[in-house]
Amino acid sequence: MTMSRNSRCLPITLIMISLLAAGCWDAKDIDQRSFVMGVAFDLNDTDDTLVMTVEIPVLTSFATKTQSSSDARSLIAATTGTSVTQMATRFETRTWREQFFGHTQCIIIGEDLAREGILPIIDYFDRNPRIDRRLTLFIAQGEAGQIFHVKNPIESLISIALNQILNTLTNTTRVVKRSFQESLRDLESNGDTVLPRVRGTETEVVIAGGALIKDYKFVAWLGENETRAVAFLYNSISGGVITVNVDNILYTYALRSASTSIKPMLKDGLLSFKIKVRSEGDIIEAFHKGPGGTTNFDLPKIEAKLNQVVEEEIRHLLAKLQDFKADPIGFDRLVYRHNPKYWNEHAADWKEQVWPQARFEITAEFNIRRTGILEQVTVYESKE
Amino acid sequence: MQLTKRIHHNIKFLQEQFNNSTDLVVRRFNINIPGIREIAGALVFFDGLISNQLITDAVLDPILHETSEFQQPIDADLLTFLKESILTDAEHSETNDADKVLLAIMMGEAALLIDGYNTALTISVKGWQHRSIESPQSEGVIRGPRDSFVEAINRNMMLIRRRLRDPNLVFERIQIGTRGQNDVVIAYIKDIANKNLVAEVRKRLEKVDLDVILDSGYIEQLIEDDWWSPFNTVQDTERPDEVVAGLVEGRVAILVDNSPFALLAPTTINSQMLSPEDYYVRWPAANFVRLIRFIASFVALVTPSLYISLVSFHPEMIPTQLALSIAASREGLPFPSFIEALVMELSLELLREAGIRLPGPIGQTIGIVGGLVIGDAAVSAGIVSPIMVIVVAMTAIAGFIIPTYTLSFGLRITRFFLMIAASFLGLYGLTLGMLILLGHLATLTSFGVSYLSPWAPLNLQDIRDSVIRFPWHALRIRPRYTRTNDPTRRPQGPPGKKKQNRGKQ
Repeated sequence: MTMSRNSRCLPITLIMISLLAAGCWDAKDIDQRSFVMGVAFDLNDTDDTLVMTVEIPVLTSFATKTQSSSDARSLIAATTGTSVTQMATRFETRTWREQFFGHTQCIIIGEDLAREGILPIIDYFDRNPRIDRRLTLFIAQGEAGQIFHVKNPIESLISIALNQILNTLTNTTRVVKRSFQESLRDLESNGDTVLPRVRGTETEVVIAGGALIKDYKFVAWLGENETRAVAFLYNSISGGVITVNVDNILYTYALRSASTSIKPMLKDGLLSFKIKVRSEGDIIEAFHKGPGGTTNFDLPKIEAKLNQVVEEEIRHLLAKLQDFKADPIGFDRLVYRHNPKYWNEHAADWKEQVWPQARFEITAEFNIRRTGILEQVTVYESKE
Repeated sequence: MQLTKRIHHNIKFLQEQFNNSTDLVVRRFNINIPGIREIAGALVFFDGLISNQLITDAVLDPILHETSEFQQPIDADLLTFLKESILTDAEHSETNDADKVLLAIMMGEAALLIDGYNTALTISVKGWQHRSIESPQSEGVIRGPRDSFVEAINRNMMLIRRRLRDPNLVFERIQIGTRGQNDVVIAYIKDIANKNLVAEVRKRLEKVDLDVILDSGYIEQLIEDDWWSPFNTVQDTERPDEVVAGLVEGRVAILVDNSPFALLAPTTINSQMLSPEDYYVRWPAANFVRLIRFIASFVALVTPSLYISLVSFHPEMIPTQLALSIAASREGLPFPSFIEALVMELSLELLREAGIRLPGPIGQTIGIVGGLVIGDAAVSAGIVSPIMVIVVAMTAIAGFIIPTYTLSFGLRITRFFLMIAASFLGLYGLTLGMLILLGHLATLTSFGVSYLSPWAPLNLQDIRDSVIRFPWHALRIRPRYTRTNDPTRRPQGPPGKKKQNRGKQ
C-alpha cells in the first residue's frame, strides 16, 4: 500500500517542483514586446557615441486589413549611447514594451562606423540567443539610419523589404547573399568578409555591390562585377544572368546552376590555388546591337566568351583582395584543411606574407544547355 | 426455501416476497380435465415484463381449452402432461427452489403454480417494450452497417450471432449486482481467444460487487487495469460489427443488459484510434483518413498549449508575418494568453456539455449562439483574439475526429494539463508534459497488453494495422497482442490468385 502511494506521489511531486520552482521568468506575451524589424547603427556626428535607429511596426495597422494610407505603419526611433545594450534599454523608457530582436530582419551599419570596426555591434547580436540567424548584415553607403526613412509606396517596412529583396533575388548575381550566421563564421575565422551594400534614395532602397571587411573593419567597396566574382567564390549563386558580347550580339546567359571548387596546391614551397567554376544555363536573350547583321550561331564561341569573362572577373577580384591583404573567401581555412603542417608554419604571417603571394589557376567551364529559339533564328538583313 | 404443495400458500408466499407490489399479476384459473377433478392453477408474473400475446397463445389458451378436449383420463402426472403435451412455449424449466422462482419472475418469466405440486414451472414468455435498432450515435460511418446495440441484451447477442455463424462463438451469462441481478454476457470465440484472457475477464467480472449495474460503464470502471489514469483501458463500442471484428481478432466482448454499449478487452490506444470504416473502404482511402485522424489527435492535444508557449515564451519561433498579425490581434487584450486560452477552452467545454443536455432543437441553437455569436462578440469586444478563436475551433474539430468517445475524453483532460505546463515553462513545459504523458501511457496495460502496442513494444506484425492499414490480403495474421490460439486469418497471397493446379483437378 505504502509502496503504491509513494510511486504515485513521487511523479506528482516532481511535476509540481519542476513547474513551480522553475517559474516563468521569461513569459511575456507577444503583444508586450516591440518587434524591432530592423536596426541601424551610425557614428554620432558631435561626439564619439553611437546612434541606434530602430524600425518598429505599428501593430494596430496590421490588425485591420483596410487601412488608410495616412496611418503610419512603422515607427522609426533613434537614440544615442555607448553600447548596444544601453541604447536598447533606453528605448524601454519610451515605450512600455520590451525591445525584441527575435524577428529582426536586418542590421545595417553605416559606412563611417564600419570603418572604425563592426565587432562591438555584432558582438551583442551574436550573444543574443533569440536572434534569427538568417538575418542579414548590411553596410550602408552613407548614413545607415536614413535607410529606414526611405518612403517606399509599396513596402511599408523597409527592413522586411530589404530581406525580401535579398531572398527573392535570383536574377542578379551582383550581391552576395550571406546570412548573419555565415558572416559570423567568416568574421570569427579571420576577421574578413564581404557584406552586401545598401543605399537609399528618395523612394527606394538598392542592394548592389559589396563591402570588403578586413579585420572587422570596412576597407573598400566592391563593384557589382567584383561582387559577382565573390559570389562565385562563395559558391552562393543560385541564379542570375551574365551578358556577353559575341560578334556584336549581346547574349544573355541565365545561370541554372553554378559550383566552384577551390583546391590549394603546394609546389616547391609556392602556394597556388586551382579554382574551377562550373556552370550550366540557358541563353535567354540575344540582343542585336545596331541594325541587321547575320549571325552564325556558335555555341562554343559563346561558352568560350563566358569562360573568359568570368575568369577575368575572378582574377581581377583576387588581385584586388591580395592588394588589400584581405581574405574574405577563407582561403586560409582551405589551406589549413589541406595541409595543416604548412598552415601551422605560416599561420602567423598568412595575411601579410603568404596570401598576397599566392598564385591562382582559374578555369571556368560554362555549359549552355538550352538555347531557346536561337537555332531556328534567321536574322533578316534590312532592305536598305 | 422450498415451495409447498398448497397453491394458495405458494401464491401468498410470492406476494409477500414481492411485498404485494402493484405490478405483480396473479392469474388464477382451474384446469378441468375430464376424469380428474378441477385443479386450481395460477400464473404469477410481472406486468410489462411478459408478452401478453405469448402468455395467451402459449400458456393460458392451451391449458384452458386443450385440456378440456381430452376425452379419456390421462395416466401421467399432470405437470409432466402439461409440459409435454399442452404448453406450446419454447423454453421452460421446473424447480422447487423458491429463490429461483422469484428470480425467474423478476427476469420476465411467468411461474405456473399448480395445486398439489411443490414445484413451479417457469415459462419464458419475456416480452417488454424496447427501443428498436437505430444507427449508432457516437460512432457513425458512411460506408458500413448502420445498426447499433440496443438496451436489450438478447437483441445485442442476436446482432453478434447474425454476423458470426460460428459454433465456437460462446456467450457466457453471469448475473452481477446484489440487488439488480443484471445479466452480463462474456462473448468470445473459443478457438481464437486466449484461454487465460477469457479466464481473467471472468475472474474480474466475478469480483465486481455492486448492488446494481445500470450500464456497461459500471463494469468498465470496475474491471479496468488502472482506475487512476485519464485513459480508459477497456474499450466501449455501440457497433456490433466492431465487436465481431474484435472477437475474430481474439478479443473478449462483454455485453451488459440495459446498456447499448459493449465492452472490448484488451484494448490499446491504437485499437481505439481505428474506425470500422477503415476496413470497409479501399486501403488508400483508409490510410489517408487514418493519417488525418492521427494528426488530428495530435492537434486536439497540443494546439492550445503550443499557442500559449509560442505566444508568451517564444515569439521568435513564429514566422515573422504571422507573429506580427498575432501580435496585432492581441493588441489591447486584457488577459495573458494562458487565461485567454483557458477561458476559450472552458467555454468550448461548456458549449459541448450544454449541447448534450439541451433538447435537440435548442441544442442546435446553442451551437450557433455559442459558436458564432459569443465567439464573434468576444472578438469584437476585445476579450479574445481572433487567432484564439481559430485555435479553439481547430481543437474542437480535431477532437471530434477521434473515433472513440471515451478516448477523446482522456485527450480533453490531458489537453488542460499540457496547457498548464506550457503556461509555466513554454515549449520546455510542453515537452516535459508530453514526456510525462508518454511515460504514463507506457505504464498502462489493458488485461496485460501494453497500451502503446504495437509501437511500444514494437510489433512489426501488428504495425501493419496501425497508422497505416495494409491491404486486406497483407493482413494475413490476426493481431498478435491478443495472443490468439489461431493466428492465421487467411492464406497467403493476393486476392484472386488461387493455386495453379486448381484448374487441373
